[in-house]
Amino acid sequence: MKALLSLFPVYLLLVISGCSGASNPTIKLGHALDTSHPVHKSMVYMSELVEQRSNGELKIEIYPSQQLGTERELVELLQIGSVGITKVASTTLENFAPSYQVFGIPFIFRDDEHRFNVLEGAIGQQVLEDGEDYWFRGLCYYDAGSRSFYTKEKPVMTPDDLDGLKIRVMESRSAMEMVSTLGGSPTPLAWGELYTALQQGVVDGAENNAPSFYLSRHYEVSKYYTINQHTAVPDVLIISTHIWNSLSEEHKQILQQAALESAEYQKTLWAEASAEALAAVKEAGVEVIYPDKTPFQEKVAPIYQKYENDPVIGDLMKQILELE
Amino acid sequence: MGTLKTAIDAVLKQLIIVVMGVLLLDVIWQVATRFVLNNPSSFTDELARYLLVWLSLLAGAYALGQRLHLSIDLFANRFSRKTELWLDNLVQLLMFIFSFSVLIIGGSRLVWITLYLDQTSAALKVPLGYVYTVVPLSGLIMCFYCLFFMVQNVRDIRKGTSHIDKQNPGDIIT
Repeated sequence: MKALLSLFPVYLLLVISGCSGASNPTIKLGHALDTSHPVHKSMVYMSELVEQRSNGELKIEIYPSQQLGTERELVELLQIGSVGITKVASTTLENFAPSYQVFGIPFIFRDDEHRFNVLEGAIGQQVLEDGEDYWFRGLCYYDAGSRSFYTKEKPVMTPDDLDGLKIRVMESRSAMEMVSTLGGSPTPLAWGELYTALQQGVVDGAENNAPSFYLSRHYEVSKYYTINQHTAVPDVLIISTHIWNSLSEEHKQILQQAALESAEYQKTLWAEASAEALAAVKEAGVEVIYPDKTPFQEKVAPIYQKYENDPVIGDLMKQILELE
Repeated sequence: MGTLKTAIDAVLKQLIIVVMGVLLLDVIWQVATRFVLNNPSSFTDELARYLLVWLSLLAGAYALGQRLHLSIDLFANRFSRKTELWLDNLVQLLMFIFSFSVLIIGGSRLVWITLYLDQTSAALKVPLGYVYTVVPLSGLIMCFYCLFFMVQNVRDIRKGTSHIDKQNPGDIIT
């Protein structure tokens, strides 16, 4: 019996240590990116601003490179309150808060200027706040450029070239739908498995922005990069509502302001990274193709018709299209 | 309690066989659609992942009931039979605490939160809360097995017998 009784302190300790996280003034920020990524650098910038302006009262600890989990796991941890802040692609959030689907519609933004007007204006703010029903609040958007196709053997000049090509997509309904509407066969695959999949011919191509194409070294196994810019899904910085509501008004303002400033800072970093990446892949022998975007845009018209009367994002879509 | 264990064993075994079978068919279908039909199926990858979660948790519980989990019995074997049984009780208690607090309480909370927040999977569009129900379920079964073994150990101590086979701890003398 003594052996059983002696266990009680151990059990108590487990329970107590499990509960102490909430009152900690340090906010944990976990994300899935490498430390050389522009978004990571912007987060470091943000945490410095926050610490400086709150006189060290509010601190943000950053855990990069999937130390705390993949994007989806991080959102789940954030909803429970184990992680305070994380950065996710808006496609990941589609499964958590439906309004984010609107950013996954192909060619929804006319150009970069239109995109920033939407994201930084009332529509972007509304989507950020919609997450609160699902226990996370959006702080700001980070630029993730626009995504384009890259293929292994066959260059893509028109949507017809995609016919029968197996294209790796993210785990998202809208991404699968987009590729199949354009004529390709969408193949959901983990990002980490893509290099080998391209090499061995499991898929014929994939789609992503220039820095990801470059940093993942996929350019070594796919020789054609078609800049058709079909989607421009932003990255979103979100905070758990449990943590957000526990902050004082002053700290909320400091954090929100720092997030917005880091987003501005990230834009310039991103532009540099994109230009560098594109130059580097060209140097490595990748043929970069700038096709006529019109046939791609025409081919995705059914997606617009489908979402027109959607109760969740139909209105949002119209507002975005009408915005100057 | 013994008959209840036999019943749970049997049901669990059948369930694991079915899950493993579906998993096998699912993966074959995935390969077939990718390389033969050239039109990859969008749901197989996700289904395989969730089936594997179910398989590992249920089979983990089953293995606990059969005492098939790896254990280092270097010291346990050197003790007298009675001490060995007490030691086993301690091990079972630790497993019980883990299963109860992490799998049952934590798992139920996870199920509740994901259902409440309406989280759905990307390809199949099933509420993830249903997928996660396996966590408290397997926890419940594990707790039952731990209790069962503890009761049996105490009985053995009283009677001076042992149901743990010294030479081969994986086998239970029945």
